Amino acid sequence: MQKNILPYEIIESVRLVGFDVDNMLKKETPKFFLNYNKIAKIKEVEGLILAGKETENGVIADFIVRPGKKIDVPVHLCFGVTKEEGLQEIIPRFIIEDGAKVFALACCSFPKARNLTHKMQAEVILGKNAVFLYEERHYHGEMGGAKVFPKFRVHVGERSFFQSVFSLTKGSVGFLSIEVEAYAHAGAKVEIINKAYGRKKTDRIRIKDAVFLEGEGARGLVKLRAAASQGGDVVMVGITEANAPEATGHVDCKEIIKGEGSTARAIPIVRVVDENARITHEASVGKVNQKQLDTLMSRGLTEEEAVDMIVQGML
Amino acid sequence: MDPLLEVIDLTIVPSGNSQPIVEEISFKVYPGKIHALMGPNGSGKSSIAYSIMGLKQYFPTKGKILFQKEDITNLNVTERARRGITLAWQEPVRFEGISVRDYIMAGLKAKGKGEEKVKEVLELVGLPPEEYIERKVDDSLSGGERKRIELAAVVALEPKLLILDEPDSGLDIVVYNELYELLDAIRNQTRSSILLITHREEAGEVADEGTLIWKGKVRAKGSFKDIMEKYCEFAERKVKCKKISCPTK
Repeated sequence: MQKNILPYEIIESVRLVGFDVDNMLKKETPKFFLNYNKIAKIKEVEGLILAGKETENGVIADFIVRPGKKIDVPVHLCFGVTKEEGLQEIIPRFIIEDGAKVFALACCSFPKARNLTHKMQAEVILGKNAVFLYEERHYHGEMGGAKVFPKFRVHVGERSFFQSVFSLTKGSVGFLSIEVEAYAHAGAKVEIINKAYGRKKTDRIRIKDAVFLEGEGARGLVKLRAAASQGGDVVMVGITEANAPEATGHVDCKEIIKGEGSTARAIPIVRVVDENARITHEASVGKVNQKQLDTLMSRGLTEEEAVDMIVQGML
Repeated sequence: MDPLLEVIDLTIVPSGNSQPIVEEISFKVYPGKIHALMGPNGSGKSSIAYSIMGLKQYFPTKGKILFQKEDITNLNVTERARRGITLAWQEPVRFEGISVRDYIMAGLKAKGKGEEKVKEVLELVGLPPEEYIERKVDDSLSGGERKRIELAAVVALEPKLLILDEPDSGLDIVVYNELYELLDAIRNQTRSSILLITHREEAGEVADEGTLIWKGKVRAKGSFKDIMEKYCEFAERKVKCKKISCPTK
């Protein structure tokens, strides 16, 4: 195992969000680690190109999987900052070529953030018959001082599958604004899943996910789950447009609010251009189910512990 | 012997109502005994159970609840649970994203018990742990499976007082026949006292004593035979008494 590649606080937060740290740090594991604006480690494997160029505040990076290559172990990405203040900007390009398959686990960690901004402007391109599963988990520390702006623009080629799962469910949020814009071509499938939990008065969550079904038979799912407690504020917008025959999509937004001053808004937007396409949606915003709360409290959990368990389950 | 639980003159008037759901209810549950709270649907049995558990909506308007001689009337649900009272719900609620393991473990962590206990109680209620432990406590489980998991979750806590709200409702006939044997096994294994909320005379197979509730009031107390006779009397032949000679017949 490789030690001291990343600061201790970042490693611990990777563990906190549930990733397998031991596996991540193994010498042979494909990886791209960034410590503030310094590339801490790059490890490629056959068929996977990882390259980066440091900038004043971050990195410009390439993540390329060659045609037909199936990377059978998760590729770990880690973008961390242990400073309390500053700016980290990441501009990655993910290219998954025809017939390639890869699974990436990304952790963004800002454990000491007091006035720290993280920006990501990602371009994702999948060729034909490719598969890209991308999971990103965040930890913003406990002080509520992070401002985080992940943006993804995704093109999913014919008969390809792209899945993105974002979660921020531990610690504080600060300000989080996620924007995903995905275009699915013929026979392609896109799933965008975002989960966030704002549990402080200063936590603000903004999520806007848009899937455009541009090719015949394209399929899309936008699934948003969020909770706001103790004055947290959440706005989620899930958009799906069907612009081709036989395209099908679904938008599913669910939010829980708890405590005075907490607010949540869920806005599903669907638009269908082709008469042979179909999009469905569902949205709900509400308080924690009282019977669920009573059940867990009757097992000895405090109200706070019970709420946390219910929310974590939903997320 | 001192009672484990003593309910004294319990009256519950829901907010916004002038009429009580239950009025001046008094009864005692003794250590290691199964006490059946009998009565037809709508008589107020479940309200009494929820009030003993401490649910806000069923807070007593009058009367008090003693547990091991301590007045717990003003304690909240968590505080009562931590003193050894728990409740298995008539219709267990579903939880999105929570596994059977985590659901049963929820109350066990504070007791320092782990997954072995989860497996043990799943076996006790007849659910193979390897098939169920990873499953989610959601719509993917049938009503009967949820009832069994609910029983497993409360038994795992080894409570001093286990309140079972209509544990036989919604069960298929096979499970139904096993239920009362299971209750006996639970009592023997955990030494818990059980407050059994039911309207079925089959409860008499395991209940040591009972209280009959009818239209929100206590109508009879004592042995199961005594209260079933009263039950039949009040039901005016609407209850089919298979095993007990009804005075009204």
